Amino acid sequence: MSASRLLLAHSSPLWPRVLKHPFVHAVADGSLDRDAFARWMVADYAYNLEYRRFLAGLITIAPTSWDADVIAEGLPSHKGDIELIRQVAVRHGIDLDVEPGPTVIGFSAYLHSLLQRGYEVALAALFSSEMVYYDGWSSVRGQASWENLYWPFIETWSSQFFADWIAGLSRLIDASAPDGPSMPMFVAFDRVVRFELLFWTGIYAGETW
Amino acid sequence: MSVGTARALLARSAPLWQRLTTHPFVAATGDGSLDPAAFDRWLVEDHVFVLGFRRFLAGLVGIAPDPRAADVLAAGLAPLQAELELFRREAASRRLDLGGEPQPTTLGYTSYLHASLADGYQVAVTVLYGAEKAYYDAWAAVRAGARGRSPYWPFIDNWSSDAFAGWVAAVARLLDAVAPAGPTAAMCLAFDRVVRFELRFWDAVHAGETW
Repeated sequence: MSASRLLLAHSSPLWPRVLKHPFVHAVADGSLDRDAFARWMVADYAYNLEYRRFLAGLITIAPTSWDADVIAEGLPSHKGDIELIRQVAVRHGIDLDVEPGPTVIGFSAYLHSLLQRGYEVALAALFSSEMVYYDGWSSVRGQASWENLYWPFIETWSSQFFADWIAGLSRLIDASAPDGPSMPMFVAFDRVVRFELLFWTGIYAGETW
Repeated sequence: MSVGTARALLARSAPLWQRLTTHPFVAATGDGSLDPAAFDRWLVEDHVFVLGFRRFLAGLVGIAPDPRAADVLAAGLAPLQAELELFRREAASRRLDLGGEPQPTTLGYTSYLHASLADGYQVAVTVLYGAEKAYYDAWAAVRAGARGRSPYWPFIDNWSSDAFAGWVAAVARLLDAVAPAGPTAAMCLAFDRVVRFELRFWDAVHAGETW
């Protein structure tokens, strides 16, 4: 089995929670309340700004230009996400310049700190965060209406473009760990899944310092 | 007249500071009434924290702007070894596994320390000061009542000792030197976040926390 599949298999016990998370389902059926919506925009905005630094850091330690090319392909769509959040926030009168919850700060810092643990480990974390997003949002794509306020987000994170990029990342994982993932790669992959779940729960339930 | 950057940061975070020095976890550790299960959690989580903190401090030595600052920071590394050994001895006598998965707040907080290195020396040394000053002030607040009374005295003594106070004061001088005009907005935010993380860390070890 390839390294990317081994990582997914190892963390598969968490996957039912990814696919059934109440936050994702509330977004898809349009039942998310206004406060949670504002928390989501604030959290995702703060997260994305830090995530971009993480992606850029990963490019600086990429071992080959192929790796750097594939990872860098994620930057423009990332910029698109940031701009989408800004536009939506303006339209709905949401102030993005407020302090996000502790999970957002902790999770984005965790990704950043992995850059010190070497390329393979940080790449495993990137793959994990993207895979959770894609699978989570894909699981509700069929149920969401085009008229749903949140459709642009669901559409972006379950798009074919996004799927292709993640497939590219999985090939980088497989090439960087031809003998299978190291223990730190398994740990980082699993922790990112758990942080993503806490991130959604924090937005949905409302998390304070 | 300038009051010094370290003092200015403390003044801004005064409302949080009160919560630090009166935190129920600290109070219960001081008077010995702490639930042993909470103490066990603290040992395990603080061991993880110190391992992450050591990496952070070493990284800070690496980006120190001059040899004098590097001297001060590097002096903080050696006592960490004694702390780790204290944790390991105590954990062994309590048959605790120090190799398990940390709680989310521990992982998030240590990651935050580490990630601050990417924001530059000024912000990272602010983060260091916040973490150390919080520890010193909290344990110093219960020191007098804990001596000879709390079974957790060796831990309280460690973080309220004159030696630790001297180190925290030296870090404050580094902070004053690196930002003579007072703290920047980024420094204020980082300092405040560290104090909030510290409070959450104690909440989490006191009550227990799951993923």
